[in-house]
Amino acid sequence: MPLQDNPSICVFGDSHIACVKRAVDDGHVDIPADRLEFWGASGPDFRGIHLRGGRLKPMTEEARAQVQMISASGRDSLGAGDFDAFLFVGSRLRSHSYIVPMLWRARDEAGYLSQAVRDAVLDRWLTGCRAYRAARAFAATGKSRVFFSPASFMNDQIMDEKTIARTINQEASASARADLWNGVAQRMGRDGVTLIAQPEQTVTRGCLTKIDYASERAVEMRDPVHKNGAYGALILEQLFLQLESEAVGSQPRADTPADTPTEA
Amino acid sequence: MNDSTDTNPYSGLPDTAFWRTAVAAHNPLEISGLWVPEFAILPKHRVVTAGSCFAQHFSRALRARGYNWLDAEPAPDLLTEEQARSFNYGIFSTRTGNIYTARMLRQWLELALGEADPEDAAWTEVWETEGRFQDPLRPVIEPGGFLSRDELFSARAATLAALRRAVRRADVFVFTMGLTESWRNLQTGAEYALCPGTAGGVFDPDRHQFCNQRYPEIHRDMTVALDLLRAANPGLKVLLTVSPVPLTATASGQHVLTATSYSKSVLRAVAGDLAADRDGVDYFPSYEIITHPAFRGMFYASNQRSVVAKGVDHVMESFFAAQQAHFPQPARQGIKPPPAEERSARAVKCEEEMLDAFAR
Repeated sequence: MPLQDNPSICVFGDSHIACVKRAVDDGHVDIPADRLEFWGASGPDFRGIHLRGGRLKPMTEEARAQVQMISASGRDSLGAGDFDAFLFVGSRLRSHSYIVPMLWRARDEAGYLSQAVRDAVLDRWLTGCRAYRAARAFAATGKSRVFFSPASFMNDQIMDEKTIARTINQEASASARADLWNGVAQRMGRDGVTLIAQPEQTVTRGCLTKIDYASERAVEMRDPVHKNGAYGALILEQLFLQLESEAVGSQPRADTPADTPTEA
Repeated sequence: MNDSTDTNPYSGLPDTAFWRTAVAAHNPLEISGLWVPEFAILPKHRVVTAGSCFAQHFSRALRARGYNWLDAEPAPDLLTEEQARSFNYGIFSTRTGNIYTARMLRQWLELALGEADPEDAAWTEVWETEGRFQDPLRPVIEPGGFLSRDELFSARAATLAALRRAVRRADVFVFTMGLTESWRNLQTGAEYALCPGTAGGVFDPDRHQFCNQRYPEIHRDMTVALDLLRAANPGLKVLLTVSPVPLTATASGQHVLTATSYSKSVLRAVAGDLAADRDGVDYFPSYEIITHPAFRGMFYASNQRSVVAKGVDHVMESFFAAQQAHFPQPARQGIKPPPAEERSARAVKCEEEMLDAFAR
């Protein structure tokens, strides 16, 4: 079903937005949007982007150069009302820092955490990330819909097996992952931010990403982090599904009082 | 015929055997040789700390000096140190909270090492207040209490598992003895960490009994505890200390000052006898360093109870100095800097990823 109104969308983030760009460039996904822009900077320079006066701005020369390269429209700053929807991708919010250690704890008989501790950990993961705080600030304005897709699990077949054995719960189940993602979604929801979790079909060995979704040169570069266009397409598809369902949800249904004439 | 001064048993003793040369002749901060350690505690050794509140100073000092303090129940990495401490992580090696008495240590070890049935009525009591649940073995461990009984027992099971692991993996178990006074459940005999009604629970004179433990009982409980430790880990060394912190309050009917003297004297005597009688058990005199008149009370705050940072530092300096004197170690090298090359390699990957996707 087409969107009610094709929204304008900004994909914001660090080098993780590259997979979304590839999804678009390679035609992996139809774009039901009037405008899809990218904005951000790669890892080290991403730290030079700050929220100032409600707008994300590159505050260093390096960040400005990156933003200039990435923004097709030459947009030099980003504010909540500039787009109908924002998709934050990666942006230093790493699944590897929260989901992975929580799954690792689950396999340990001494790893149990009370709900209060789990809540504190989740809160710290989110609010300790500057980009998440920016996403929350954007959402709080009510001017745009804000989505967040954290950086995905590390790529399989790249990390050494000793590290995997020491840090990855390879027995972690889909339901264990779903429980954690649901907690993240609920917590983000309280901030008006919608989670786009790592698609389950991309996960292998408990909490790694299948090599099929790793960036093209991942093996050559020994890059455990970046993903390809196929992964980016799955993220975009989730985004569009969310927007679509919200668009449908926002349409008055024929049997609701909203459809009833209010004037005699 | 020899001069009697050359032949009596004191004639060949070192200076530390004589008050004048060991104490009176020195500035208090220069009194030395108080401890001749029985075994080495080296940076490579895994050290577990447990006991009364003074034990946490050991944890901190060991960590600060790069020793291998065993954090067997670590806080999640994402928590700040302040958050972790608010949930009582990182204070002792496991999240037991303060273990003030020999009986409490025995209880924890019996539960952790399978000598007690956790399903027994003694160990299934919980304190419920307004829908929150406190663990009578550690009532203040979870700020605000646990959400449910299940959560309480799951968290306790995790701590017992951590304690079991700590005992089995450790090289040294440091236990600071704190109190002789305690409260027990009259029916089950289980000892509480704190008196019911003070920081949780409801005091019931028909169910709760005051105990001021005496030497034989404390010695017996400590002996059982040491036997359990050894059975779980035959190579484990044990270092006993006695907390120099006076009682906050006494239920003994005595003045709190004389009750403190009784309590500490008994604990000190038990610790000394255990160290003298058992191989691999030593006593470190942190108690004397803080409390002895030779130190003129200089390590206490104005309330004459709290130990000031200077006192803690002096205790720990004495500890490390004695270790170094008897088991000399080469100066430690600094901690390796983080792998900058690895970081910059990651940054290059990020930039290349962006260039590949966006460069036009």
